[in-house]
Amino acid sequence: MKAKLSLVRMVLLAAAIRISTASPQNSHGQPTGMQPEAQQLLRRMGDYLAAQKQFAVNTENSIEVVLKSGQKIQFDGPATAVVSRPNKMRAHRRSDLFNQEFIYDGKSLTLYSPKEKLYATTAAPGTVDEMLDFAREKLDIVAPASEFLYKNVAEQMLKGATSGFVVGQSIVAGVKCTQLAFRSEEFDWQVWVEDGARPVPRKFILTSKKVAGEPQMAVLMKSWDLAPKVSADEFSFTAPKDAKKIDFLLLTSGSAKSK
Amino acid sequence: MKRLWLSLPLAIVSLVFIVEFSVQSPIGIRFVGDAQAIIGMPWTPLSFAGVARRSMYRAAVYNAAVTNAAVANAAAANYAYANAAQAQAAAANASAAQAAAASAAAAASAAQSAASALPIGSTVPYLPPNCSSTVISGTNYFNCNGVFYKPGFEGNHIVYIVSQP
Repeated sequence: MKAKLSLVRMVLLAAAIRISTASPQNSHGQPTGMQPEAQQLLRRMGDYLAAQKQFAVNTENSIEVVLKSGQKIQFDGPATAVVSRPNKMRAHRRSDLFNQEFIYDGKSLTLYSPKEKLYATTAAPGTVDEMLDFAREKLDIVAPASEFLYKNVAEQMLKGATSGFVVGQSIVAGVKCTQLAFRSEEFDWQVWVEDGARPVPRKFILTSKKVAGEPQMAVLMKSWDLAPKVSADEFSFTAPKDAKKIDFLLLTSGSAKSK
Repeated sequence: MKRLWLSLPLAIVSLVFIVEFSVQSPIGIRFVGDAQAIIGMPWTPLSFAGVARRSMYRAAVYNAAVTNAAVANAAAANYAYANAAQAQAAAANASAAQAAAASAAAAASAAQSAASALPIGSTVPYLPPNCSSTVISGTNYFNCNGVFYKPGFEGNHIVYIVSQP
């Protein structure tokens, strides 16, 4: 009975939150459609990131899965990424179920699973942006936090957006931020941009509206280093002695060849 | 284990849905089942902006699993993985959750080794127990009681293909 009551309360709370955020004419008084200030701040963030020649970011990622019962379970994991534009990147993801390194030196891309001690290497395009496209389209590989590594990130994000507004001020990861909320047909997404002279993203939430249970994924950018100390061999992969080389199956299988 | 085998027919029946509904999450959890089953997130960088969404994965992921036996086997293993998530949901703390995941993975491996004569080309997400690493003509394989598995990355996931080296 107690559980039932609290469930009712949760539903009511959820409904209340929904009403207060979904209605375009709430206490914030934001207009419907795309608010220019929201777009401008997102573009400011994108331009700022694109102008950084080298940076390192530490993130905490979470993703929800929806069980058959409707129950949602969240999985967590940290990830780090170091980027040296235009053509170098290294990232490491250590989630509940996943431990993987991603190394790109401008010529080749390596994916390494330390637990299994297996790695695959392939020739890759010459810039970070092209490499991320290549990895996603040809290898079906997703690099940690890669949605923020593209140079034209704001334009790409806004492409499908139908509305957006500035939610207001917030403190994320200990710093003052401005919260932005956008909608597209299938997704709602929010970005928290650091206030002041360094408009880096601090948090990103994506809600899949067309998936049952509307699961979310979230990236919390705990720390940004815009002048990271990068060693000469930071972006080159040297296989550990007992590691074994394997293939990217999408490059070697028949289906990849036929594409 | 019993539950796993009981659910096999369901897994096979739902084969048609696997290609359509299996999704890959950014952190590499793969849950497969019928249309009502566990759903991850159809998420790739900027997919929410409509950039090349899900095209590759859907086209290629179960390409290698061509025969019923192979698919049933892979489905059983995946189903065990799904059970792991449910066990994790039920588990009250992290260590219990890990133990549950480990036992479900073991069940998946057992399911694989129980399935006799896997066709060459079958893809499975786990190796059965007691495999040894071996190199044949410069390619890495795992020899599991005389059955050779070739590991490879399928997207961010490591999978094992039953092979004839």
